[in-house]
Amino acid sequence: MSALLEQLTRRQLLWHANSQHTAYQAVPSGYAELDQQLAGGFPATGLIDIQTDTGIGELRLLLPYLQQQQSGGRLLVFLSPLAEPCADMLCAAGIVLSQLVIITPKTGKDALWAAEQCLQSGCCASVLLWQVPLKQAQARRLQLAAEQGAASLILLRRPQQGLSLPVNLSIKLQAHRQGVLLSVQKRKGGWPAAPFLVDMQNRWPGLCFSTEQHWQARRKAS
Amino acid sequence: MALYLYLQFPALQPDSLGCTAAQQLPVAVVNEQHCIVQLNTVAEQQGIALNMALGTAAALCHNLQLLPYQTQLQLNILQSVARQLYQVTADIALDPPDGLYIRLCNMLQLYQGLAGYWQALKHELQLLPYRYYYACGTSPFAAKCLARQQLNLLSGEPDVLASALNHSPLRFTELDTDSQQQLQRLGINTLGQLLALSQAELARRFDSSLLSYLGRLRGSFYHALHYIKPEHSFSRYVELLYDITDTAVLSMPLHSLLLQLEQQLQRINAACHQLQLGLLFRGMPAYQLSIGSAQGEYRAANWLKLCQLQLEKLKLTEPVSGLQLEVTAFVLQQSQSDDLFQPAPSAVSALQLVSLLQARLGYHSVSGLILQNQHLPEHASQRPLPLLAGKAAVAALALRPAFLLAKPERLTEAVEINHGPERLCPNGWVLEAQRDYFIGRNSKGQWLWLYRTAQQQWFVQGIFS
Amino acid sequence: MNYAELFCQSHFSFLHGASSPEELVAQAAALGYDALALTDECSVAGIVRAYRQINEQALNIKLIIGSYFQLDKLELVLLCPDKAAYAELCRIITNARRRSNKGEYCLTEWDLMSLKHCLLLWLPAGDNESDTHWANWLQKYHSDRLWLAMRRQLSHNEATFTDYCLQLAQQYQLNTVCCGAVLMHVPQRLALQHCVSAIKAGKPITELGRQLLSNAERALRPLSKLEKLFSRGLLQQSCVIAARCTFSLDELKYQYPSELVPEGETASSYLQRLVVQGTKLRFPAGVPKRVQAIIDKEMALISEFNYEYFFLTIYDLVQFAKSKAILYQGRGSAANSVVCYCLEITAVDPDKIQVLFERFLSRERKEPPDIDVDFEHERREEVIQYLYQKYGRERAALAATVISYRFKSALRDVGKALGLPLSQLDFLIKNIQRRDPNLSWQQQLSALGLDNNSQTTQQLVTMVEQLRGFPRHLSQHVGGFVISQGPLYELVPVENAAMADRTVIQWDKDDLETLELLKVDVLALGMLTAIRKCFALLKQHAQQDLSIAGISAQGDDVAVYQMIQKADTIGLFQIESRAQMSMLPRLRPACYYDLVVQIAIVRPGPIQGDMVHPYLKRRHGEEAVEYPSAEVQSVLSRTLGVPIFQEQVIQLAMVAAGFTGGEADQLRRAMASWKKTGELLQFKHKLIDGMRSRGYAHEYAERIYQQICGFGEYGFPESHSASFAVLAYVSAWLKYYYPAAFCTALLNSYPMGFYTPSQLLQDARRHGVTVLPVCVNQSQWDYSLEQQGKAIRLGLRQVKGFSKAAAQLLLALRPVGGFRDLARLRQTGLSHSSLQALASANALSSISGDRYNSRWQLMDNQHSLPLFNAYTAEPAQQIAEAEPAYLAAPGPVAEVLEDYAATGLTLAVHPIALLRQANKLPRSVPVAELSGVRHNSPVRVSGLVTLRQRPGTAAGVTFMSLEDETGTANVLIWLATAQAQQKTFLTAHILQVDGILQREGEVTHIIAGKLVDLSALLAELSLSSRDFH
Repeated sequence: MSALLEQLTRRQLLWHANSQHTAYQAVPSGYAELDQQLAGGFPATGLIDIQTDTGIGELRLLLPYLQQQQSGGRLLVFLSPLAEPCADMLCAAGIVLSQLVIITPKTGKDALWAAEQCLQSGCCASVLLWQVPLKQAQARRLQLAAEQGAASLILLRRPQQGLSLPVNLSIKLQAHRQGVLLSVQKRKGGWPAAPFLVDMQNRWPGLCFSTEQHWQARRKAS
Repeated sequence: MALYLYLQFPALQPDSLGCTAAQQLPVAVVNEQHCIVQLNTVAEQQGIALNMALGTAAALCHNLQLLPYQTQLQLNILQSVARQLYQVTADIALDPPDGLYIRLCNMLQLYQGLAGYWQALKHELQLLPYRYYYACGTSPFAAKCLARQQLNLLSGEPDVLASALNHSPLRFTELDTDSQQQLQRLGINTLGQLLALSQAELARRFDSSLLSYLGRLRGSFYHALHYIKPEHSFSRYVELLYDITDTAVLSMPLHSLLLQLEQQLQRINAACHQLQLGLLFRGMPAYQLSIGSAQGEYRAANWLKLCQLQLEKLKLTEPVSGLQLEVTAFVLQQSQSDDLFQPAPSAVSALQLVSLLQARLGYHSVSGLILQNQHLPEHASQRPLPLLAGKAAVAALALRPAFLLAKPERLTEAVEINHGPERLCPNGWVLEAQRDYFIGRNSKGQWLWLYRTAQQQWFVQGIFS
Repeated sequence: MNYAELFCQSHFSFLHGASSPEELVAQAAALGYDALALTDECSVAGIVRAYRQINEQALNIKLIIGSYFQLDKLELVLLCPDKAAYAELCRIITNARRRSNKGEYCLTEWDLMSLKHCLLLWLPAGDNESDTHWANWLQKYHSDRLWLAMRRQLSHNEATFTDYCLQLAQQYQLNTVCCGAVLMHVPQRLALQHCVSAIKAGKPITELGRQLLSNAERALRPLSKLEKLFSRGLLQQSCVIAARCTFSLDELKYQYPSELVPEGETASSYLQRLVVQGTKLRFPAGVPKRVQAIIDKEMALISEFNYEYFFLTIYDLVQFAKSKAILYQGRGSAANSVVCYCLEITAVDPDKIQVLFERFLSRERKEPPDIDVDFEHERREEVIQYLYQKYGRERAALAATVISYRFKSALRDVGKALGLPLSQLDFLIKNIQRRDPNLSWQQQLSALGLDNNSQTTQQLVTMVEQLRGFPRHLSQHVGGFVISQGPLYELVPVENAAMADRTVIQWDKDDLETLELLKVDVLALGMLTAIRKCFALLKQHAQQDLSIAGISAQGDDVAVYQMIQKADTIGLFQIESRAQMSMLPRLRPACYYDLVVQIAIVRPGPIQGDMVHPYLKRRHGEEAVEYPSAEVQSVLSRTLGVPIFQEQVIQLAMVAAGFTGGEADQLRRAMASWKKTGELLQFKHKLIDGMRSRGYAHEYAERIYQQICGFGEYGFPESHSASFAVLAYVSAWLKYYYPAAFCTALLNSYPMGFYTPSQLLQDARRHGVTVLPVCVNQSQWDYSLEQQGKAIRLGLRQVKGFSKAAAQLLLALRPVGGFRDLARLRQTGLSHSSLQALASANALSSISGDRYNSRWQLMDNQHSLPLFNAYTAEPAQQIAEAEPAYLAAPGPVAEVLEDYAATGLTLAVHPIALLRQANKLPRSVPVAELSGVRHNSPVRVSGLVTLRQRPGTAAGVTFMSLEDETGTANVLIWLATAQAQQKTFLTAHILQVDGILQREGEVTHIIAGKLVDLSALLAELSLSSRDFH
């Protein structure tokens, strides 16, 4: 029975009694310190706003979460990605490629239409939307679609585009040699917190400058 | 008296090659045992013969063009021939790989005799590019045996047919090679000699298949043939009462066509993947739209939605005068069983969602991602149609960027190298094309995937996101 | 900085390594490595080649012997520091190999646990669980000889793996060393490495993707690069390990089995005693003084080189054969010595041949003595089993033969790897002409439809050339045994051969020679079987007790040589081929030594080297016999100044060009392999300069070199020819005096020789022998003699589809008076198919009429009802006979065709005679009447095509034999003629040829012009299309 419960929980069909203080159902992010700050992890549904430069570790931060989201068999959608997604990295991170759909619309309008279709379809778990300008009203409409289809929409935007949107969570990322520096801008049912480091040295040693420089030291020893 | 016609097509595959250039070259079809089984006339003139070994044939004729024998293709061609002939004659049975049985009895009355019938049939055959041989017979096997000798014997006279049959060498019969050999080793070389022997004596020496063949050959045993029936398809045309310029207005007549389709599909519990929608104009050629549903659909409402998405994008320069709806292939309906544990029972399935997205955004704007078994990063990731599972499991490499640039760019900024080199030179023929990959971080804190060529030039190929 | 490469695989790690051992050691030396360990996977098959390369090229590099192994996720390299470790390595390779099928191996933990001497390099797999297990395990058993080997191939995420290995080393206190895991001697071999990987995987290269090496870092790398990749400590450690490895192949000492010498005697005294015994047998009238002098000289040489055991081993072997009445004959350099004559190893009377033992076993040359012993082919297995019994499988094994890629196999496999369709490859392989030296196969590709400029074609060409000569697998040598005093597996690993119960060592005969290990060749020869069977027949039918030695001892028989001179040699040993037969009337051998020359000269080598013509001219006195010097005369006088034998070439190099013994030996090996490797070129200057400096004319030196090249791999040694000539003469003698018995013996030893039973029987009939048909009541399994040895009765063995077991049943149950009816025959329980086979061969004609009626009766299944199957006392009365036969009898053409189908021959009318009678062959001249046709006049012949042969020598010519009812005509077809009429040329079974008759002496040829395929005529005659080939 517990297995069933676990499965239901993972698929967000059951609500934890102890998570009532969060305004959303949280999915573990895979980074313990982050889960602590976010009271459990990223929201399973609704809008997540991430203000970030590209290439500093923003997707690495999300990968464990996305993998969790996908595990129910639903789709993961990349909408207007920056460049050609690379199968190796995603696959190695546990993303099931056959459940990944990449959409490259020609206009922002089409992108928003596609986002709405995906979110409300009920067959997508998460939609990542890159760099599409969004108005308040559009955001509200997407939030509605997301809740309707029990999906999350992750907006990846540049920091300066910081316009307050009706979202479940809004965070800001900054580059750091050992991972990313994360500050929570806004959290439904929570308060903004001071920036802190999400350390990626264990998970991604090749993409961090190690603190003790043990890497270089070891290499010399060899 | 029963009367059958047998048509044999000795070279369906070479004859179906359309272009004239192909007809001027020697062409032969080779089976899996490397044996020539079909050839065109040019090849024949060069001394190639049926059943010749490939090696011999190749030695005889250096520019011989070889096609592999394809069972399915052969059958498809044979079926298409049968369908064509079905226009003028009923009771056609396929005899794969290269023959057709036709029962004549009923047709002779219709065409007032063999001559009239043959004229009609021959006319139809001449429209086709295939060479053929034919013969009549009082049983299907008799007709086949005579046709295989390429006698082109057209007659209803029992004596003529019997005499021809008696002279037939055994190799044109359906007897297996063992039986043929046994008979030959008894000095029996023709059907006449065989038919002259008493059945009782034969029964003591041969198994039942020989007697059963002879029975059917004589027409004394029943020979079941499966005559073809026309296939499922849908084709409707509707003439519009008044010309329409607004694509939205087209929905009405289109919907009624789609409802007719839905009815037909429902009757036989079928669905279809693709519609051909033709918009006909008075002053210019028709405009063809192809509308697909990856999942297979029968409901008119859903098809209408898909059609509308395409029609919306269309700008009509001239009013539409008629609609033509064609469906050439039906599939079985598959019920989507809804999973109990599916969160928020989806309004639409993944396939439906994809069809919807494709219809509005264009076919190529929606894709999946698969990992290919390739060393070079630009070959390792590919964007096929969505929702396809990749083939074999390939061990994925973790230290690859999330995004690859469409084209590598020259490195123009200072970077701090953290990792490398990883050397890629998967083509042993071009060692100088080797690339040494590094991971570096620029001043903005972005992690880049870089490579250095053998000529010491640096490029950025990807971004670790 | 110094470095020793400790992990390197050659192409003896089949379809994995992409360079030869020779290339690897040469490149490692050039790069300045201290040492190279050759560590093929569970194999030491390549080490001798590396060893030889180092010695011959005087390379400044140390060779370490080792081997690489996998056991589940464990990867290990074992290295041999000393001889004990080497024996240990050989033992575990043997164990791992003997447990598995040919070509595979299966290592166990026990093998590894038992290691006491080998050094171990461990290559972690990167799998934490298994690595932890093995780190503990290896540490527990081998801590003092264990290293963790670090590799850096610039592969994906290598830094993490390096880090991981260092952690392991730290955690388990392991020493570390670096290695290159080398598969190629230079990076340029990467394409070939990919290609062989694809061949191994059985897929095109394009489908392998990441299974392929991602770069060329598994080549031998320059020291400067290694210094960047590895720390100084790791590099130094490799030299420390190398310094511990002091074992060299020089240390392998071969010990002969000692049990051959009776107690109380030494090998030397025992051999001496046996030889003295032998002289009494061979020279009953007393040993001539000259012979005794030779014996003394030979014995001195044998004792100087310690070859006593070798001679004793072979003596023991032939004694066994003699005791079992198995006919044998020794040949080879040492075989034609007086000592061997006395030990009854050979029957070549040293008096009749001036070949001296000393010439073959010389002091300067390191070449070991060579004795091959041929045994009856049907009974060789008994000799082999005797060897295994006497010495045990631990001490006796066959030498290996390295099966290498040849042109066709290389083209097929490379083509598949490059993704060419199979049908296209078949087409290429069938149609590429390899004989024409003026047209390279690359040039032919475009004619065969490949685009010469396309990348694929160019890759195909390059790759095929590179892959040729690459080993594919080890197979068993035809009969070369290695026998040792101790277990063989301490000397060299032993593995399973494809044949059940056969084991082979991992070295081939060249390797054995390099290490000066002796092997005993136990070979099979069909003619010995035939001669023994002929002797037995003559004993039974003519009360003659004959032996090979006895016949040769009678001296040269003029009548026998007259027969040979007429080329009446069908069925004779060595001199029955088309080429031999056309040369016999010209060379006209008249004595034993002429035969020795005849056998050696009609071979591709001498023919290509253009030696035949000069020899013929000198023999007929048309050209003066001159020698440029006395030394040359001493070498060439017995062959009139023309080098014909391989030994003469070697001797020439020594006496005329000043080669040392060792160099001459290298030359001999290069000659054997130069077609493959072109190795001969390096000797060209040495030979020509050497001869010129000794005063020989440049032209003469050049000619000698050309002759050596022509010899190539076809060079034939005099020592072998001498032994073959004895058998050739004995077979001729038997044929001349007892044609029926000889033919019967040949047929009972079939398959052997050039000719079909049909041709042998036709030849016998031409010699006045009666041939009787096969008959259920008369025939034995074998052919037999009837009518006081004047007639041959066909044996049941000639009936297709009739097994020996069936024949034994039939003969056991055959009533004294024979079977009288089919019913009785059925009761023997012979299977239906056996009875059918007899009917088809017309063997039942005496009891059930012609074939059609016999079959009709046999097919009646009323007889095979169970009730009648039981043997009853009076069966004939209970079984109702079949109704009287009413089927028509087969016509003459049908009979002939059936004869061919069932027995491959006919005693009735020849098919060509049938066609002639039916007037289907207008103006065709019967072969027997060709003698009446004038030289150079047009002629037409028709016949069955019995031979279609393109000899290696005459490019562009095909020989064809056309047989009609009167004999066989030799037809010569030029390439252009064949091409113009290709279909007929390739496919006709019965051919009509219009051509020009040419006659030279007694040799008649027809140069073909027009070819007409008459194959369909017989079918027309019989209404049957069955092929009778």
